[in-house]
Order: sequence, then structure tokens, then C-alpha cells
Amino acid sequence: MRQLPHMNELQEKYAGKGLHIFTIYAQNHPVEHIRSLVKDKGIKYPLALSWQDEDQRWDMSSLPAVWIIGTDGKIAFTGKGSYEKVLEEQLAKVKYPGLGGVNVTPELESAAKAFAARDYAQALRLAEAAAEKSDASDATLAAAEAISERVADRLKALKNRAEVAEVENAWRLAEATWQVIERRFAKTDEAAEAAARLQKIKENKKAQLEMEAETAIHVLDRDLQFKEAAIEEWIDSYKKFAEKYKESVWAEKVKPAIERMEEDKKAADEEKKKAQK
Amino acid sequence: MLRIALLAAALLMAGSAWAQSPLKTGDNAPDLNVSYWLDVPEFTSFSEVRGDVILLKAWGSN
Repeated sequence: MRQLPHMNELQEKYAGKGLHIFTIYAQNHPVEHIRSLVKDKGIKYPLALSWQDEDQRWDMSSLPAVWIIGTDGKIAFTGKGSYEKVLEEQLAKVKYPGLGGVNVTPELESAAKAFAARDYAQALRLAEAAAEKSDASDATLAAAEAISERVADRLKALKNRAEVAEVENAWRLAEATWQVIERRFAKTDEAAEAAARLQKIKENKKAQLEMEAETAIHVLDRDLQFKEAAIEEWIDSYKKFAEKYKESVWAEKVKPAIERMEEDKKAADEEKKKAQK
Repeated sequence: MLRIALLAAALLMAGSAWAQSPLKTGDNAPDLNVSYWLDVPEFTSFSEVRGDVILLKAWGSN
């Protein structure tokens, strides 16, 4: 587990330099255990607890497992052993984080740095200011336009994510996304809108219920996995959850899982009867 | 969708061969399809940060 502080160190060392750390907690431990671990170790990077990998491309048969995805979107490293050299080689290719392919002229350096630091509002202000100068070259104008477009794209992607999340009752994601907009577009109309949306979510009892249900089912999931619960307990627990959160979309979402488990239990019981004859 | 909502499917899959081979150096990296984050991060997919460098680590605490 000494890798955990090391990951924090990497995060700090390469902050704003084009490194994005994502992690997956790949063991069946309860959420509370993981949360305590995160707090004790001061983990600051994203941690996924539930994911889909139906084709099992990400080999997690042996932990820890590391992959580096390079600037070309291809796997640059996988497996065990030291990966820092590969990491540094890839990071050396990133001149302006988030702006791959943009020809940043000296006049747009500060805008590019603001973009790398995710201060998108500032990046936009600086890009527009550089473009407004009467002696701006064609290259500068092109770079300013490219940065402005990247900012607009980022905003569009975030707003789309937040709005779709609301429609789909994925309120944790919606709330977190509006918070990102509020933070990264500070002092703009976008931030004000995000603040208003966050207030609405806070006041929305249905949204609060959905967030509670989403967390509850994932906590339950992991608890049952951790204790290697028998299928009867799975079925019973899921049914109790569905009843408690019957006003939530999650009650419907777990129905197929309950049905499937009941079918499997029935099949297993029948097999057992046959074997006993 | 819950990872464990596919419990039955997972039980059926136990011991099955790889549907596709695990990723190796040089392969195009598929996006990570996360359904639940401990805390939702700023970037939730690899596609949002393409062009930069991604370090993905799967770990546990045993």
C-alpha cells in the first residue's frame, strides 16, 4: 500500500502538466472501509467503485495493476514494474495540457496555462484579449480561436452531462458536474446558473432521495459481496431496498437483478433435488 | 447499472475464457465505463482528457 502516497506524489508533481490519474478499487470491501482508507491515506485522486468491463479488457486478476494511456490514446504501459520512465516520456509530449494539437503562440501562453489549470473563464478572457490586439498575427488569432473553442467545448460537455444526468435521475453526477461548472467558470453567468441549479437540487426532495438510494444500493452491494452472502440474503436485501426506496428509480433498476437471482436460486434448488434422488 | 446487479451473470461468467484478450501495449484504450465513483470527479471518462496522459491503477488493500 506504499503506492498510495506515491500516487498522491505523482498527482502533485504533475498537476497541471497533463497527467490524469484514475483508480479503481478492485476488491470486494465495504464502502465504509474504502472511505476510511481514503481518509487515512489522504487519497486525492478519483476512485471508481463500480464499473463495466464486459469484455474484461482491463486485466485485474493481479493487483495492483497499472496502465498508462499515452497522448495518442493507446496503451503505453501495462503490467507490473516501474512505469515512471514511460510516464515521463509521455508527459514530455504534452506541451499544453488539454490543448493537444493547438499551435499556441507566445501571446497565448498565459491563456494556455490558465486552460491547463482548468481556469476556463480566465483562459477565455486571456484568449479574447490576445485576439483583440490590433497587431495580432494570423497564428495568434488562430490559437485564440482554438482555445476559445476548447473552452466552449468543455462547457458544453459539462452542461450536457449535468442536464442528461438530471433527466436520468443520476443526481450525484448532476450535482458534482454543476459544482465543476461553478468552480471552473467562476465569476461568469455560467457559474451563476450552476449555483442556481445546485440550489434547486438541494431543495429537490426527489433528487435527495435518488442520491440516497444510489449510495445505499452500492453500499449494500459491497457489504453483501464482502461477507460472501448467500443468494437468499442477496434476494432478501435487494427486496428490502426496493421497498424502502420504492419512490426512487433504483427500485425499478434492481428488479431485473432480483428476478435473475430468483431464477438462479430456483435452478440451483432443482439441481439439488435431482442430485438427491 | 450495478456491478453486482449482474451477480447472476458474473456467476455464470466465473471461469469463462476471455471474451477479448486483455489490453496490451499499443492497443487503443477503450473508455472506462464507471457507474459509481466514491466521489464523482471532475473528469469522468478518458475521452474528456484525450491528448493528455492517463494513469489508471486498479488496487486493493489486502
